[in-house]
Amino acid sequence: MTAVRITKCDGKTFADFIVAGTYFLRKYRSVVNDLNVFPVPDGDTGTNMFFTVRSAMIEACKVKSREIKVVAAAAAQGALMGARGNSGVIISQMFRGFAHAVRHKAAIETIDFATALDEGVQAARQALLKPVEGTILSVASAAANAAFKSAVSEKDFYSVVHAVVSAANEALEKTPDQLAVLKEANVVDAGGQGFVYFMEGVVRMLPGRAPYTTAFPRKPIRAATFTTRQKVDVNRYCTEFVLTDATIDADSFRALLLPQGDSLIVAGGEGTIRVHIHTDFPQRVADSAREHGVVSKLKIDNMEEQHNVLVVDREAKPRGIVAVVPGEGFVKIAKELGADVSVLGGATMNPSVKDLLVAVNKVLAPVVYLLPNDKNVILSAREVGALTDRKVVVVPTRTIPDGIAALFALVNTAADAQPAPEELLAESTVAVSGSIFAAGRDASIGGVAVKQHQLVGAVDARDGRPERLIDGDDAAGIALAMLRDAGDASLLSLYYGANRKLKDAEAVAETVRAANPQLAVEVYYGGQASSDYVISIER
Amino acid sequence: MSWRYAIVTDSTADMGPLAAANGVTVVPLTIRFGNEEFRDGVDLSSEQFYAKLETSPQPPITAQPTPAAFEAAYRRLLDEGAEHVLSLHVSSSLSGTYNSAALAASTVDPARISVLDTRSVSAGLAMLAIGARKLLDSGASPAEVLNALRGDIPHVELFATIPNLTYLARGGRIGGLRGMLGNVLKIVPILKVEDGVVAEQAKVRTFNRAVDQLVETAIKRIPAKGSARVAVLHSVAPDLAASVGERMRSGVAPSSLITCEIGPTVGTHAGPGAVGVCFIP
Repeated sequence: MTAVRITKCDGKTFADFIVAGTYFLRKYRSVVNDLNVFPVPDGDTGTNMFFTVRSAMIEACKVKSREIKVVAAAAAQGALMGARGNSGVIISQMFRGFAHAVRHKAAIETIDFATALDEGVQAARQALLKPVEGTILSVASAAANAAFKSAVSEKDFYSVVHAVVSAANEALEKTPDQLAVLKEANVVDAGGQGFVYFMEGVVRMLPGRAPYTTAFPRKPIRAATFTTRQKVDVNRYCTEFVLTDATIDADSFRALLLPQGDSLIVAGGEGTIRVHIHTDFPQRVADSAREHGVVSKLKIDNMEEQHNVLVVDREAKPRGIVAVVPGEGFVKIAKELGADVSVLGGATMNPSVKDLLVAVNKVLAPVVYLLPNDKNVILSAREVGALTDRKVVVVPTRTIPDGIAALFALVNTAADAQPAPEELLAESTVAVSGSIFAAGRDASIGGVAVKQHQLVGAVDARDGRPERLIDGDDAAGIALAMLRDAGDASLLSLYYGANRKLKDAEAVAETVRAANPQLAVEVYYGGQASSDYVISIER
Repeated sequence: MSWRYAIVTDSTADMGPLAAANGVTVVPLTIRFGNEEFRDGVDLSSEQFYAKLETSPQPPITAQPTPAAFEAAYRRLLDEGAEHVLSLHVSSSLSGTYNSAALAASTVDPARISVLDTRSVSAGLAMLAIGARKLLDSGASPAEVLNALRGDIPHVELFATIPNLTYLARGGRIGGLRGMLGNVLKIVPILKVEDGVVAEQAKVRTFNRAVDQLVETAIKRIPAKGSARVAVLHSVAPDLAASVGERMRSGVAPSSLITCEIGPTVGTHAGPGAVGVCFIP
């Protein structure tokens, strides 16, 4: 504990909090990654959370205003745009709920902080169809309760956040009792741990000094570590104008413009509002502004003049497809099945909401089918629709074999048809979707024990059966065991990864064919980094 | 045996023994392997053709019958006493056969020879020809039969699947199907004959599933049980054809069920192993 007291948190302090939390998460992201237990080495929760809060931090630090409502809104937008994986989306919803709670405030006190934290947790819970206890949600809920209890009598932010960290830590220790899969692996929840680290970073911060100068021995250089921005091909127009005789207040106007771009600043009041936004639709922004006042000093700059993404002489088609795929081989397969744009993703690096948005905006079609093909990308995919003028139809495909089945279903509909996602999923005949990989660590799941580096199979949850490990002497043995697990099957597709050769895959296929003469066995290059083989067994 | 009303078709009808049984005269298309030329079904049987398809270094090329071949057939039939000739042919969008026939008819005796573009092929053509004979047998006039055929033509549906796309690609009759020929993924198409051309009905992962799906599609598209005319077509796949026929029989209880063996001309494009279902609901 420190003798320094902070009793007011304005936008600047809030941004400092985020910087501190981000720094801590960056430092410990690999610890969080290692906690990620199933199916064995998914290993990206820490990285996902770090990228998400980093994006929040970048936007928060860009804001000139000292008002927390402005900074929190920018952070929320940043988190949303940078959200990766489930944990990232959950974090971004927390930021969003927090920003909503402080939307009228220039600065907050501890009790406001507690209320805002609670609203953040509620927002995250609402974003999930089925909130699961024993995860980051339980940890964050405990944190919010502790914040409230403490803030009732305590005005100092350090004391309150300290109470938050203690309570979050306690809740984290309980997660193995709430979630059997954690218990078996003897770990705490990775997302919950990430949340604790972030809050711990906040506690370690000292006002007036950057946290890393005192808290940590290794000193990252701020400019190089935190502020480099990737160039992206969305929101290319820096648009600025002044709205006079405004019939709308700045907050409502901000809310109106928020979905239209990023780096949004809406400042002013009393009938005059100044707007700065990076958008792809400057005229639309200006037009919508004209409904609420007189637009002047309109300035539109193309930030990437040389980078013309849209080929204008190409005809828009009625429907486009974006698929997230785990490897180069799958890019070709998806393209052949009609995908306009593929986004490389996969278990080790989930694409951010922004990556998905860029891909969706590349498609020259008013309706875009988005196939996440990974259960950890579905939530991010669902956020894209609100950020683009295209109609985004998310087909919640949980694995790449599901995605290929959905592409087949989609390609078999008329070019202008808009089948519902459920219809496409219902067409699937996938009985088993799984993978074969070298275990990243010793683990025991569902009674199957594996040693590090041992080849093991994992079958994804389906038809009410949970995810499970499949044992076998070698890749062919595991494939045959999966086949037995599948029951009736007519087709087994083997997609070999980047670390395998065609002849390895052919040898596995030959063994499977020899044991199942009636079965069609097909071998394709998938190019995924996360596994040796992706296996799809269809009825 | 001579008929009062003659029916002529071309060898794309894949009628085999059904031609003679129904009093249908078949004018052959020609198949050329390199420098060797054969008349479909006359000096090249299906068996010989598929054997040659495997061994010949040169892929076969098909050619429509010459107008002279049709002229000869029409003159012979009229000489034998036919009052009228109904000449039913493969879709003019797939072959120039119809043009040859029409040209020959205008030369010989346009008033006594009616040439019809059936917009179909293979078993579709065969069913229409057999249907025409049945109507004539029941006393209908050639004009009435033509009307009935024109009524049937829009309702003829043919679905087929082929295990190997190389023949179709090589034959060049793929038109709008070009996009379906995958380079990476093994894709089995279900084809349909629609508006006189071959189109793609669906893409599926395996041949067995394609067969299942085309049978299901056919059964679904026949609303009234007990009345549809059904034909099964196949190239060197008699067992598969028999099982498909069985499934159609139990699925729709057809009023008639014939089996057509895909001959050299259509086989040049389909290759061996193809199977299909054709029906007039």
